[in-house]
Amino acid sequence: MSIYLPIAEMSVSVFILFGMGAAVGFLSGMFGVGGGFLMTPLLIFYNIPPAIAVATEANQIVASSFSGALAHLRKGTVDVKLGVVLLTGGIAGATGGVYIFSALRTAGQLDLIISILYVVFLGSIGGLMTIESIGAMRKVKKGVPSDRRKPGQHNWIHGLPFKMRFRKSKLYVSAIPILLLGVLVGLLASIMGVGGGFIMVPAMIYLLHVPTNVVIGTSLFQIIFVTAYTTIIQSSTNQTVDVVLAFILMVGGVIGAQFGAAAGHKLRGEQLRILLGLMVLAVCLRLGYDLVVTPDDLFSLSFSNVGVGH
Amino acid sequence: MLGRCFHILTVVFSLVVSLFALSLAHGEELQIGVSVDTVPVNSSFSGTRIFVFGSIEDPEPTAAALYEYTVLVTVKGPARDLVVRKKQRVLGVWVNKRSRTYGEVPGFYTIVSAKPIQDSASEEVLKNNKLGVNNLDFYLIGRDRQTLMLKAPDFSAALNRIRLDEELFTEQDSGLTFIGKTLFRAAVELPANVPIGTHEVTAHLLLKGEIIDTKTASFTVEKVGFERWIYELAHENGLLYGLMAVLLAISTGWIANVLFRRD
Repeated sequence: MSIYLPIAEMSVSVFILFGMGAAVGFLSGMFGVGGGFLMTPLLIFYNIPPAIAVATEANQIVASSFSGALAHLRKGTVDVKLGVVLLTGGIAGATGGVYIFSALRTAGQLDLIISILYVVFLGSIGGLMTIESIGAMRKVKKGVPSDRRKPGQHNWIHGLPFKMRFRKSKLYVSAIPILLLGVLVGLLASIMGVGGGFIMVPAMIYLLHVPTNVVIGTSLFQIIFVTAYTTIIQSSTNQTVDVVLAFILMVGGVIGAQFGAAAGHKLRGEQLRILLGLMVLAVCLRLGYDLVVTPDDLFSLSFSNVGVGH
Repeated sequence: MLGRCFHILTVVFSLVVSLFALSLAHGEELQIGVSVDTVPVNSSFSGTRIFVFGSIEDPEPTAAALYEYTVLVTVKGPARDLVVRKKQRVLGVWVNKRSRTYGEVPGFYTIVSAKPIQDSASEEVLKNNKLGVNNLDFYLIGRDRQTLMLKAPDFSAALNRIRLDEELFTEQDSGLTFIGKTLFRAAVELPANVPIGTHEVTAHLLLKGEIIDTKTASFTVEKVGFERWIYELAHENGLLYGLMAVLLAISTGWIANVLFRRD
């Protein structure tokens, strides 16, 4: 059964899109990640124009992060104050990102920049994750307990001014790195169509020393706002959000996530991380290959005044 | 289906009537009609076929008897400026480098004829009247001097090639049939990706290789129902559209959370 996407202006198969949503939802439920970094490249491989894939994915992430954050709010594992500081930076970053997005699109370099950003981010995150989990698996084999972060450890971040107290996270740190982290994630959300959890979570754990139990909930909490904001800004500046596409992906995604979460409980942490790491690397390689292999057609067409309707 | 047949019949009937009501004016004249005023695009749209009907009025009896008349029908979709970009390898990566912008390129172009167009008229006539995909001559526009100075035939060739691949430029060289000596019918195939907007239909009447009359008509391709509503909202009130998209996502997320609640 095919359906016509009103914004992408193309006919696509509902079942393939639903299947893609469900598969990515399954993986995101299993690994506890947003899945935007897998979904956007998949949409691009399925010939959805990158500009539409990125903006529409932000819309889908609103649904999945809201669903996830509700559960965390109920359990009380969200540091709302920390989340608000993060999303303040995030909204600034997303605003900048949407303008960069428009400028790149006019210059004809958007697709290239999206691909390069994906290769760089997926490559480094996937690589680090794989190496780290291989190390952890070796230790498990040898019977050495995996090392836990000691609380109270200090790094250069803790020497910065404008300190704020975050009760829930038991933290007293400068607002500067938190805002900067928010800006970075906001930029990525609007240019790459990701929630940014894959940057946010490790940064909160390793740089800010946020306790692990509130990290996921707080990250999801701020992702809702940043992606919702990105959806609205992309809609009003670039008209690239396709709600029909987003809705099919959302429904597939939330259903897939339920089964994924159940499957995730059967695997150990480091096994999950190595699988996720390898998958991220595979997507990275595929995108990287497309960048360097000689394209079938060196020429491409686009309308000169993008953003202007018919 | 019945409605369309009826529509076609009325067009044919009115053409037959007008044939009988011929004036004694001198010289051949074309009359044409399109089978539809609007082509609706809904969620299951996968292309369609429309008909252009026409008649040659006041024909020269011998030419008609010998089937010497040739008709070429063109359809041009809404025109927009188009950028053609060429990739080059930079540090191992393929990057869009040079570009050319062409003014007012039709979003759709097709020429329908009874036989291949090169057999329908001389190359010169086709070229002068911009008939056929390869004779569409687009003008270069651009901000930089380089663009204006270089004609860049590889860029315009790429434009035609990509448009042909996308079925947005086509030559349908067996789509036109004569019914009797002076009535004709052109079947125009519209692809699934036919652009939204007004399409201009032009019929050219040729005798002995020369164009002796042309007539134009038009039809509109438009989104209908839900698709139209979504599209118009997105383009006319992006802010409201964005808010709606967010609301939809929030409700979906909330419903999912309620349905699959485990705690």
